[in-house]
This record gives sequence, structure tokens and C-alpha cells, in this order.
Amino acid sequence: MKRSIRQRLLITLLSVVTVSWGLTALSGYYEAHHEIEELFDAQLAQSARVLLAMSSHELEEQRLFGQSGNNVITAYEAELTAGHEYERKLAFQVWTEGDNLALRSENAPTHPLAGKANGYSDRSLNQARWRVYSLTNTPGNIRVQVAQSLEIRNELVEAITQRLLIPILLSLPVLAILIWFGVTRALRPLLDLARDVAHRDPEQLRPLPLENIPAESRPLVESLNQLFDRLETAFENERRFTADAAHELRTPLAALKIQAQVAQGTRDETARRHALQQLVQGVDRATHLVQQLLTLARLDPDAAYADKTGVDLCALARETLAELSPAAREKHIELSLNSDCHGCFHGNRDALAILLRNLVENALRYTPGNGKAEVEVLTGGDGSVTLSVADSGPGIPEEERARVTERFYRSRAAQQIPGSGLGLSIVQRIVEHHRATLTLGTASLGGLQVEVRFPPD
Amino acid sequence: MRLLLVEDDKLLGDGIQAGLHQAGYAVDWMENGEDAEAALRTEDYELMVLDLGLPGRSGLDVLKSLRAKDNDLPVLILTARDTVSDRVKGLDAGADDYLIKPFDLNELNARIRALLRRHKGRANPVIAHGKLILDPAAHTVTLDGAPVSLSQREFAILQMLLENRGKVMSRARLEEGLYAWGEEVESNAVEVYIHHLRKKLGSGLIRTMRGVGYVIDKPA
Repeated sequence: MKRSIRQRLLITLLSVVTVSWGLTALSGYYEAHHEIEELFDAQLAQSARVLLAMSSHELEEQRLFGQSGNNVITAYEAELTAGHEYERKLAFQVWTEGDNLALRSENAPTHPLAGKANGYSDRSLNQARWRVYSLTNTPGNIRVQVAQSLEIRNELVEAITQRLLIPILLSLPVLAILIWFGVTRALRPLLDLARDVAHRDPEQLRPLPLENIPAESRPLVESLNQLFDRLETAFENERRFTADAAHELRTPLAALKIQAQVAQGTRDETARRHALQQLVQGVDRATHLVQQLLTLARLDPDAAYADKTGVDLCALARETLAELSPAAREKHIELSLNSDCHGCFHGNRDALAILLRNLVENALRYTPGNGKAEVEVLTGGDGSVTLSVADSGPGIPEEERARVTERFYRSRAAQQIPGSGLGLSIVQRIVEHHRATLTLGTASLGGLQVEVRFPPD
Repeated sequence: MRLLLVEDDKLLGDGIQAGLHQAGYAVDWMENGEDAEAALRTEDYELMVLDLGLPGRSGLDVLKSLRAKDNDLPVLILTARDTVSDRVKGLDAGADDYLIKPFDLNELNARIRALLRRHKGRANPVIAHGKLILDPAAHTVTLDGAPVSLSQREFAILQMLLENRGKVMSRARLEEGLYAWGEEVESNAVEVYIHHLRKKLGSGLIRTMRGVGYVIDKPA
């Protein structure tokens, strides 16, 4: 599993804070270092200058009163023991007349601390680093060298940096806890949302409320609601399909069983004969249903049949009409074909025969006796072929036209007439296989007009 | 006893009508909800067998509007939908019982008998009147333990009178229970059947209320 948002936020925020504070501390360190450097260097120079002035004065007096240079050292020796702890980190030498060490501090060596050039330099002395400042008076007879241990500067910088870092380090855990609580609080709407979704049962797909939803999770909630909507539609279709299928499959079986039991139970010969007749009719109906189911299964979108040949739709229509004309005569329905005899295109002959048969059979089935049914095959200027089957039956109400191609759906107007509820589903499948379009409308004869337009090859 | 059958499927409706007729009921068969409601308004039925999957006005609508009118007619629904929620919906809409297609004719008959019995407030499946016992399920009548042979219509009249003991049943009412719509009513048929019943069961059982009808008195 990926890290939780809370963990991610916590880690990100803490790292950003740590890095930025770290950078602040680092720049503080360098700043302090630099300032201390300047301060101490200035101090060093000042000490040298004071020392030089004093030494010149002493030497002048010595020269006037004829004392030897050695006396200068002894005169000051007693005063040169350390007073302040930082003082021990200071050392100095006073050189006269070139190489004569006139005065030095207790911790200063007898050899020169640095070269003869004036200015700053860094030296090693007794395994420690020292900063040395050399200064010569204007006549050039006295040179003063003052040295300061670098350790003292580093100690100071470290002390300052430590003061800077400790509060930062101490406040980090506190900050972590605060961020944790803050993030938890901010994520509460998301958790509420999750609980709402978790407690839903699959039957109830009402949309999630959009109020109290933070802007960031709004797209998520909106997508969820769209998904719920699609699921609801899918479930509804599924429910409708199972209900329709159950009705269309179980009713014929119920009829068979009841008629068989009536035939079994009656002592009346006419009643028995009637029941058996009904039973045979019921078996015919069930057979038709099974045939339609098998046809539909064979037309399954996955089991695409590639064997398309040149099909003359006009000839096919003539054959179908010839086959079905006895049924039309029996019901006294006037069945006619009108074609321009150019309805040739690439298609699957068997499938198109099934399509024609289903459409014409439907027209004959739902048109009451003494009605009319017309089949038309016309070629358009662009090479498309349009098949139209119209009848004088009850038609299909406009609001039901979208649903009649669903499996087992039967128009309310048609339910009195036996049928499988699969005919138009089969037609729809074949139409899809041929990339054709199916349009249901009202015929000029008053009933249904089914139009199938096959695009040019 | 007159029943209303509402079923849109011709083969199934025909079969149920024939089966119920065999069991001795007069059955009016309607093929849609609108006709069923019209029949309910004009006729007195003992029970309705109602298919839920009707075209137009659905069986559930018919049932709801019937119950909305405070009609306590026993209703048995037939449905192809076998999910629990569908059955619950049917029962909650006011059905007394249901059968899922395909069903057994004997079970349909047994459930109808049970509904009629309960509606009359009887728990006992047989009707006993003194030494006379009528068994609606077996379609038999015994007097003092000895079986009495009755025709279907004689049996139906005896059952109607026994189930309405103490109430005077008019000739028209009895005729209604014997004949469904479209069946030819023989003139004087009820008088003839009563005459036969008296011959077979003794003349003291059924009393004639002149100009009103016939009655079997409640046992003292």
C-alpha cells in the first residue's frame, strides 16, 4: 500500500521545515563566524597598536635614561601572568632593532610568531592554530606581534550556533504532533465521505451530497456520483432484463404444465382433446422461443461471421415473401414487395435472410386480419440500400421504440399476441453486424415502419 | 363458487380456467387489468387469481386499487419473478398468497382452497354439519360415514350453502356461483339441483324460503 496522505503530508512538511531551519542555522553559523572573525581581528589589531605605542614609549625612555633593553622584560614579567580565561589564548612578542626579543607574554615562544611582514597570518603553535597580527612602527625599530588562539573564535561560533539549533531541535517533535492533528482535522471530510460510501448497500445508489465537501475532493465525489448513476442504470437494465426474461421463459412452461395437468385430470373427452391441442400449440411456441434464442446466440457479437458475399437483397426479399405468403393469405393480409432490383451489396446471406424473415413475420403477426404489409428495397444515389417493412398493425408507441430491441422486451400493445420478445433483438444484432442503421417509425399504412439502411460497400 | 382469473397469456389462461373448472369453480377469465377491474366492479367473486405481468395496467396496480377500496377479496398472485423482493412487493401490495411460474395445478387448487377456507374463518379443511361431512379438497361428501355421490354442480351448491350456513342464498346468487360468463344457464337448474340434493341427503337439510331462496340452518 502507498503511504497515507497524512504520512506524506507529515513527512513533506517536516522535511521542508527541517531543511529551511537547517539552512537558517547554517547561514547563521557563517554569519556569526564572519562577524566574530572581523571583531576579533579588529581587537587583535587594536591590541597590537596599543602594545606598539607603549613599547615605543618605553624604548624612548630607556634610550633617554640609558637603561639596557633587558630591563624592559623583567619590569613587566610579574604582570604578565594570566587574568581572564580568554587572556591565556592571547600571546604577544615585542621585537626591537630587528631580532631582539624585548618583551613577550608567558605563553609566547622565543622565536618569532610570524614573519617580518605586517598584517594577519595563521600559524601553528603547540598543536594549536593561532591568528597573528604583526605591526612595525614608523621608524622600523620596533615590531609587535600579537597572536590569538583560533580555538576561542570557534568556541564562540559553536556556542552561538548551538543556541540557535537547540530550540529548533526541541520544537520539531512538537511541530510534528501539531501537523499530525492539523492534517487529521483537514482530512475529516474525506473520512466522513469514506464512511458514507462504506455504509451504502448496493441497492441504494443515490448520489453523494456535494455540500460540506472540500473543493479538492469535489471532482472525486462528482466522478463517484456519475459512476453511481451509470451503475444504477446498468442495474436497472439488468433487473428489467431478468424480469422480462423470467416472464417470457416461464410463462410458456407454466402453460405447458397446466395444460398437461388439465388433460391428465379431466374425465371429459372434449376438454381433454382441447387441452392436448393447446399443449401442442404451447410446444410450438416454446420451440419458436428456443429457435430465436439460438439464433440470437449465434449472432453473438463475439462470434462474428466474416463470410460476407455479394447479396441481392431484392432476390432475398422475393424468396422470403414467397415463403411467408401462405401465412399472409391465411390472415387475409395483403403482402406486397416494391423493389428497384439493384439492392446488391456485401453481406451475410444467412443473417440477412433471418433479418428479413423476422421483420416480415413480425408485420404479419401483429397486423390484424384483412390488413396490409409492404416490403420495399430501394437503392439510394450513394449506393446505399434501404429495406423498409411497413404494416397496418397497431405500431409501437414512440416511448417504447428505444426498448423493443432489448432482449425479451415486448411492447405493451403486443403482449396479447404470442411472441418471444427476441425478434427485434435479432434484427438489431444483424443490423450492427452490417454497420447498418435501424429506424422505427410510423408507416403511412398506420402501423409500424421498420427501416434498415445499409451503407454503400 | 365464482373466481376471477386475470392472465394475459392465452395458453396459460385457458389452462388455468380449464383446471379450475375441473375443480368445480365457475371462472371468469380476463386478459388485462382494465377488464379485470371492470369485472370486479360488477360481479361478486370469492377469490381472484392475478398474474402480475399484465400488459397495460399491471397486476400490482389492480391489487393496490382493490385494497385501497377496502375490498378483502382473497387474492393469489402468479408471477414469473422469483426474487424475494418481488414476492415481498406482491404480498405487501395486499396479496394473500403467490405462486411462481411454472406451478402445479394441484398446488394452485390447494392454495385456493386454503385461501377460501381462511377467508370464511375456518381452520378445518373439511366442513362438518351434523352427520354430513363435505371435503372440498377430495371433492367428497359423506353422510353418517357413507359416501354420497354428487355431480359437480350439486356439490358446488351444497358447499355454498354449507359455507353460508344461516344465510339465505338467493337463486341468482347460487346461479352466479355455478356459471361463469359465457356459460349457458339452464332454466330451473338450481331447483333441479336442490331437488337432487334433498333426495340424496334428506329433505330436512335445505329449507326453502319462498320468494327469497334457500338456506341450511346453523346447528342448534
